[in-house]
Amino acid sequence: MWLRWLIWVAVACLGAFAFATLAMARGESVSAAWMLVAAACTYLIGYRFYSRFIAERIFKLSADHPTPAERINDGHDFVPTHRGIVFGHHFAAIAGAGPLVGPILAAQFGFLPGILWIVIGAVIGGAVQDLVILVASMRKDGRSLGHLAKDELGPIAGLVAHGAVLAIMIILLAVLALVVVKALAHSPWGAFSIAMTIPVALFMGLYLRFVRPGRVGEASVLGLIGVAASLWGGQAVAASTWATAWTLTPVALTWWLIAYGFAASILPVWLLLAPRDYLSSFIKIGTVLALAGGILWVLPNLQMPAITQFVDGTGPVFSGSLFPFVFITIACGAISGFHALVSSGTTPKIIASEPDARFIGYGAMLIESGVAVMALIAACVLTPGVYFAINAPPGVVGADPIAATALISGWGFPVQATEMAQLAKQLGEDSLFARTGGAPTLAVGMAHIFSQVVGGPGMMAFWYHFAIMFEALFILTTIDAGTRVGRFMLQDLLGHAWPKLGETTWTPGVVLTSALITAGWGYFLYQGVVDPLGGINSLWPLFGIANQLLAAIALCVGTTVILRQAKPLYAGVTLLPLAWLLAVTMSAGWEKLFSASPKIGFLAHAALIDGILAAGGVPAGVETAADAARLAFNDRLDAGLTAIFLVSVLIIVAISVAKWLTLTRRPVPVTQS
Amino acid sequence: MTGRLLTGLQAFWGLLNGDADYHRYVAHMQAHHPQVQPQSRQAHYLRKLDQRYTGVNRCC
Repeated sequence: MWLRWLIWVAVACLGAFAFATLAMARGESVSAAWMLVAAACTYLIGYRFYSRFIAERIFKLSADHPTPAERINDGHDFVPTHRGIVFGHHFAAIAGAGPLVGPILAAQFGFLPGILWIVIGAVIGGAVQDLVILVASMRKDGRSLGHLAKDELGPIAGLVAHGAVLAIMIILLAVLALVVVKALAHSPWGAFSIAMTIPVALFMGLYLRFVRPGRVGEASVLGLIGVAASLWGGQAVAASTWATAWTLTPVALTWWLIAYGFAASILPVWLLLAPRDYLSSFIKIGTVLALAGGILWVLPNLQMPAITQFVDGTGPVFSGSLFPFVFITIACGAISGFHALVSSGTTPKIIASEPDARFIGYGAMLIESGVAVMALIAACVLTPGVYFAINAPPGVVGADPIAATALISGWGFPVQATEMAQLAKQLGEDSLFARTGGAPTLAVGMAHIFSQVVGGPGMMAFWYHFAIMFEALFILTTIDAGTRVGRFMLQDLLGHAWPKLGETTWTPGVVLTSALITAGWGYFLYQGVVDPLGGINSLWPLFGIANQLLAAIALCVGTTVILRQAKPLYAGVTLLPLAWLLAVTMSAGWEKLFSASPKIGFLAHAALIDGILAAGGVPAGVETAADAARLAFNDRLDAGLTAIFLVSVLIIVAISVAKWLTLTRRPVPVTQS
Repeated sequence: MTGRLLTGLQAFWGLLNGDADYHRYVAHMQAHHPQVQPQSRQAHYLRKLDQRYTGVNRCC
């Protein structure tokens, strides 16, 4: 008994020592191993103690309470499933591109802020949210978050939650599409490989429907062979005369992506969407495991310093100081409101035994947080100068490689134009400059790590394109599935006004709503692509704020659920992250709206553009006055959206606090004599 | 021992790709609704897909 306590104390000490090593690194490079140790120790302690406290003391999860799967057990939606499988489904549903993009962008502050927020935020915030919402939904037969909000907090809260979810969905899709555009632009190898995955998926779809129905494993193996062939084909195409045909500008890619998203969301699910999903899930899980293995094998040194000067807000990758923006930029690896939607989706309906929820809800989020740690490591093993050269948009460093590298070296991160040119050649690309959006940086980091395990420097180009393809592949699947989900939400919403539109089988309605959703994210995507500051600069914080605000809504619902059934003190587990999130997102929202710096504030930026236009000029990086006017309009639109998000959350918090007060002020019972 | 390992892997593969799903569905139908004919493999696969891709099913 005491031995177990001793082991846990040892784990805690090891974790603390690892954090101390990371925190006190000044100048000398630290091994990535310390990050892994610090993260692993914290996750273990969080899971063993904190999640057990929540599961057993607060919710009293017990195998004796039947789950909806056990009770209803209808062979379709409610089927008791082995916890390993539920974990796999749940993890595959929550783990997208978020944990891979956010940490890469946040690396501009140095590695320390990122690792602290990823690990601490997940253990105290994200995993708690996922677990609480999962249990809350499971105990109400799998009701969705919007429904739970309506149940616990009233119809206004329910409506606001629904609206927020739809808006977040649109921005999420735009941002992810932007990441893909930035990764594949001017890259014939990349564009060809990804394009070929569409016919591969179509083949799989037909195979699974007509040739060997339901044999997903077989079809996936064939699909994987097809994808590998596409990857090799890409290299051949890039070296051939077709290379120019496949070298696509960002704007061209944008139109292709919009067309693809629209088509894929309308075509029958079995033809394109489902096979893509199977394929990308296998590749995603395989690659994440391989990356973990690679990092453990190589144990690279972190080249990025612990803290850089950009914590003051002058960073090139995105503007904004450490507080609150590091907490907005890293969303999915620490806490993500969208997970609450998944936790109240299919997962609660298939849990076989209540105590499984702890492993699935809390555990899956910890693993995703681990993925975020690996992404941070991949970004930080690059030479800092190279990292900034890849991630700084032309609006900040200009378009000339020599001037850009001189500027970056001037910041204290030495890098040479020749070095960048050599790296690009080694990776099979024309140029790595201004490849913002996180995916190329991750790919370079992964290429460094994988080539040290297999293949050496000669295989860097292959690993780089493999990594690009891996990320683009499952992002595309998120885009088509997400457009479809958005379409359902919109049909549901519009169906209240005009019932015909709500019918999911009425083709004109389906086409119209799909077009609307696609146009929604397509608009933001286009604006992001033509933005001289890179698009990620403005869209990612918008996405982060929206996501965290949804998390705040979920935590309000969670707090209410806990207050109904447990000691008020226990609500602290959700109130603590909620309070933090509100502080962070309100500050960030306020700054994005009202900051006087045009680099941060949307309205200030719009005013700056107006000023330049009034004086008769055009802002740097913009061609015509009409383009500039559109940029200013877009700034104001983003500001409007931010304001709507902030107000929505304030409404829900106000409703929630009122509810909590009534719940905690129970009338004193009248004793009978 | 290799026999057990292989059976285990086969079971895992079946779970992973949904073969086990169909067998479980058929077993459920036979146990609870013996008078109803279970759906064909193709129909079951299509219905599972429809169910899977309705509602919010993934994150960022």
